[in-house]
Amino acid sequence: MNSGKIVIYSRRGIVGRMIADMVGERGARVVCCTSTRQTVAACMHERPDLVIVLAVAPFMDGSDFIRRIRFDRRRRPVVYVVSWQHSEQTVLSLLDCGVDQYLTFPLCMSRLQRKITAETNKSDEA
Amino acid sequence: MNTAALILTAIAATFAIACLAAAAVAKRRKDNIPSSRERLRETYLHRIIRALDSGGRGAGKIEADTPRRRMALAEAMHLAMRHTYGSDTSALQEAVDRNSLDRFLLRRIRLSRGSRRAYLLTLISSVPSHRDMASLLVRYTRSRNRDVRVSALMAVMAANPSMAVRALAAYPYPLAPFDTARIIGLLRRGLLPIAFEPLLTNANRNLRMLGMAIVRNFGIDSADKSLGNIIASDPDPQTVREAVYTLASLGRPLGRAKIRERVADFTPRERKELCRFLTLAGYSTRAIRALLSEEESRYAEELINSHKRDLVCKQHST
Amino acid sequence: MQTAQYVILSILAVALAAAAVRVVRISRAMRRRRFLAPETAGCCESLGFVGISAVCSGVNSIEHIENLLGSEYDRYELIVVLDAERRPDDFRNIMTHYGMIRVNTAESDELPSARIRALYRSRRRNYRRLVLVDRAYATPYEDLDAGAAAASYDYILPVGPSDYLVPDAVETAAIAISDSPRHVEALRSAADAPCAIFHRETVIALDGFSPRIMRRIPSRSVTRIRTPLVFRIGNLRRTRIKAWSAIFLLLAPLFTIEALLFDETIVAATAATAAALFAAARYTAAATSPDGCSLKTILCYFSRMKEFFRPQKFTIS
Repeated sequence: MNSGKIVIYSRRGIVGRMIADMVGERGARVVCCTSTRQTVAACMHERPDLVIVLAVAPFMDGSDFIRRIRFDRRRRPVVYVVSWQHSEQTVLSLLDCGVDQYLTFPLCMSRLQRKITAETNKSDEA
Repeated sequence: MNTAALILTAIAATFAIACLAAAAVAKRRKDNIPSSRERLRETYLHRIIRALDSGGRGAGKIEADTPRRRMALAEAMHLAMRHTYGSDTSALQEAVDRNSLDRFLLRRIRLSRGSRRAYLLTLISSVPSHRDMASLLVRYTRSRNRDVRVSALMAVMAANPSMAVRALAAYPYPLAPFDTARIIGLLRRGLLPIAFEPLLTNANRNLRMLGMAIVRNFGIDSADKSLGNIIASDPDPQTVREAVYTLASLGRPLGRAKIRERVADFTPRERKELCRFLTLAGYSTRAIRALLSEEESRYAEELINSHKRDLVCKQHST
Repeated sequence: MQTAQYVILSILAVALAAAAVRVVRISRAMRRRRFLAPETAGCCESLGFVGISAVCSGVNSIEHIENLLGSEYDRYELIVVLDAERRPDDFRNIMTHYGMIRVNTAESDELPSARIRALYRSRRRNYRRLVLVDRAYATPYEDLDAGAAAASYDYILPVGPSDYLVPDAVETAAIAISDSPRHVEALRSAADAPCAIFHRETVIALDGFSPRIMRRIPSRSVTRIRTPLVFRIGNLRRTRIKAWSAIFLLLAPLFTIEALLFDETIVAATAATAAALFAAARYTAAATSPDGCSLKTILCYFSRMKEFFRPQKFTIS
């Protein structure tokens, strides 16, 4: 069990909170946001280990979302993107702009939890 | 005269009050203020996720004793099932049985119509239900409302996956791309088998369309031959078009004589659409020239060039 | 006098019935949209291979471009048409912000009015959906022609300087186009902020965009939807002044005449009908428009009434 901090962004609040339920079971502190502005503010306030973004558009629209959530260079949160898109171009674009992991819906809960536990443990050790 | 005016006044006043009430509800929804049912749904969702996480152990019994609670439970189940796969759903099956959720939804489906009925059918497609449910839902696949019949088809397929292909073959209407995309959603959740080859060779148009959608969505390169056969021999131009696009989206060679012949039968507009699609899919001018006319290839060349850096005017670039 | 009273009552009844029909249609469309919204999220790719290119004229701020690029639909691009000589600062800002580089461009044979000076694409993969077109500004229609000439997809969505996309707009349009059993030449959103999407080849066949383009497309080839695709951010003060003046000009003489000539039941019926129309506008605005401004809806009613007598021109605001 670890106590990492996770920020989740989803335009549909209920989906974000569902993912929070999935990952929060492992003892992590989870903050859910429904707008990119709220997410950036939460990242500044919480200094999370992991940010889960349930959308692709914030990385494609030129709002510099990833730089804003990684404003602190010493504590660089890991960014996961989960979306329904599975085109190669999209995945490459996301990886290009610095996203660490791309997952598609529907999710395998146990797989997601294993990944997140490993990620938060890594940041605890660091 | 006075009576008519008074009746009109009463109707107008009632209508105004109804509109203002509906506006208040719409505003709450827009401001993301959750209703009591939405809060209830969230509570159930939390319990469902716990149940799925623990494989049904230690999550406690999920009780829904009123219609409002049952509805919230069904919605929460739909949300969880739509976004996850591979979990042990025995706890959910138990919750469905204990609260007679499938019977409850079926009753509601009977009493509703239009989008509401379609929504309820979508919910029942996510609720783990018994196989006999499929036979009770079949009649809705013949509905005049498209949303209803497609949602019913999905519900029938989800209730009895072994009969999915038969249900689809018996579906009397052509599937639109959005309908196919919704069925692919079921496949991605692991609810249906992904045997694409029998679908591609089937005489039924809907099955062939679904087969091609599977090939595209799961990037199955080995479907080349079956797609080639559809292009060569299918009498339906729409299916042929879909097969050509499927091959193109897989990045397979398109220069074969059979494909060229069928593409030649496309209307000029369809050929131009294909030309644009091939350009974006990354086909070279040479590959496009093998398939389309000289003029169309020139257009494709211009499009391809418009993705290449202009080396003459470097001073303009940043 | 009796006949005049009957005529007034009939007009009120017709107005009320029309408002009721509109409210029912909008509520149905919005209910369907709510039901399909989660399903739409799952199918952001490959809906009948429908691709949409949004072409903007007069859009020059980064914030606006961010909104227009915010769609999750895969086969979508945004073409910003701007005059680099007329607005050098805005042009430079976009170039720098999105890392644009000049790419090859050829004179368009299909749309001679396009006259593209230069074409730019981003060197960054995640902004590949953005295309910047430099052309000397003449009219918004010629800007749209230039955008259509550079478009990579089959459908063109014209966007004006005050148009913003509503969430899931592109997906909604793609579903409507791909679901149609007929070939769709144009898709028209009959919401309060009317907007249309045209097939690129239709635009070429009609010699480019013009105020008469919508009238020249046969109505059987136009698919209509009731859900909004865009919302307009305009001068709210001007909207208020326009709407209230129109309401005053219509209702003040009507009430005065009725009070002088007829008994109070007719005045009450008129007042109740006016209140019902206001309430209908309020519901429509709350359900469809992100800013919920019912005065815009009322202005839309007036423009529809005008449209009944004289077909409206295709414009982008």
